[in-house]
Amino acid sequence: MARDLLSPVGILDDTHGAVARIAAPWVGVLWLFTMPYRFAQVYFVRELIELGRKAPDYGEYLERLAWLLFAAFLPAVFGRCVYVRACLLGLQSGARVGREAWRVPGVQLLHSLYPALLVEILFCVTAWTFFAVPLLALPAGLAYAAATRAARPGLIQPLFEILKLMGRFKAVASLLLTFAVALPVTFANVYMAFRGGLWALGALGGDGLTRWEHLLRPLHPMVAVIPGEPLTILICGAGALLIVEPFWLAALTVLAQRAQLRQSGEDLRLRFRLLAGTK
Amino acid sequence: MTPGCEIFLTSSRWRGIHWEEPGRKRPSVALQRSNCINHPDRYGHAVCMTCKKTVCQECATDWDGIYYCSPCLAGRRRAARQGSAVVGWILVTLAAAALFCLGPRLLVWGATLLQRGVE
Repeated sequence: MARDLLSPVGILDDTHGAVARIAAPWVGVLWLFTMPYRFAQVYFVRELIELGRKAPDYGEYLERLAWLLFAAFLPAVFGRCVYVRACLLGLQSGARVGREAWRVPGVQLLHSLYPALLVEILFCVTAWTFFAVPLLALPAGLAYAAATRAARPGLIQPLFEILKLMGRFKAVASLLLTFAVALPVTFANVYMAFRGGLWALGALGGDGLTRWEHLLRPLHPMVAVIPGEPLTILICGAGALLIVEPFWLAALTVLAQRAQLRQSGEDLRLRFRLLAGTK
Repeated sequence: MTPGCEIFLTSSRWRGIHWEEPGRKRPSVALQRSNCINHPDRYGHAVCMTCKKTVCQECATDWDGIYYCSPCLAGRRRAARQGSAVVGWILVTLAAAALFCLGPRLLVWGATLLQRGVE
């Protein structure tokens, strides 16, 4: 047990262990449920870019797409709830997690959905300011971790729990910074993986790769890690988010669990056991 | 005092009225001191308003000015909690439904605003 229970390094260490323990099959479950939502987001933004200045004239069409996006958001919330529950069960038992992860309590589901929708709406309203986007990533993730602590449904309690976890400023800021670095690195890796695949196909002598070469062309020959095509940027971004999300959610679940341990005094009990040399 | 009416006194307080069968020859007013149902060696302090059992000071709990024994109090608290949980469920579900309905409209509004900002 680390001296400081909420040290970012300790949280990241535990996150790595938790994700490695539950990766099969729960990361797959998370991807299965969140992928439609991510691709709906990509499609919506692509259509918005295509419409350009004419976007306000196509309000009805965009609203239909937005409804589709929000409909895809519901299974994504469920998938994240299952994943966070699997993470928590894995952390508590220290073993592989079975089917019990599917049995998400109704309170947890509702306490995840309500703040997640609230954050999503805040995101919609403040996206044009740009700076609010990374700030909202934190409550968006904490909504799922904080919901595991819910015992009774309430309007204020889930928001209060999120704020309480955000109050662990040092840990939260460090995690945010770590993942802010991880996301562009993952983005570059996803893009390079596509380029690597294209290069391998080219070596096999494919003739119909011209369109792919156009889609995957870099922004500038000197900056080979950023794609030049907006659609490729969106797809690589969605791919990077899909890869980073399991670690992000797991890190926040570890943070929530450790915060609860500190609150209940369990950390002191474990430390005393460690000092006494008893298990 | 009405004939046949028996009054129980517990811990020098008037705690309850009990009607006797008519025709029985007993004093019209009987001052009795009953003991706690859980601790027979202790005098009663109050009568639970739900189960009407006499309980001592330790077993009695004052809730909104009314005494209850532990099991009855637990039952009342459980019922109160269930009631508020139902209200909580309804409120959170309604809030989530409202946000879900509001979301797509705000997304389109925010997206067009963003589009204008970019161009």
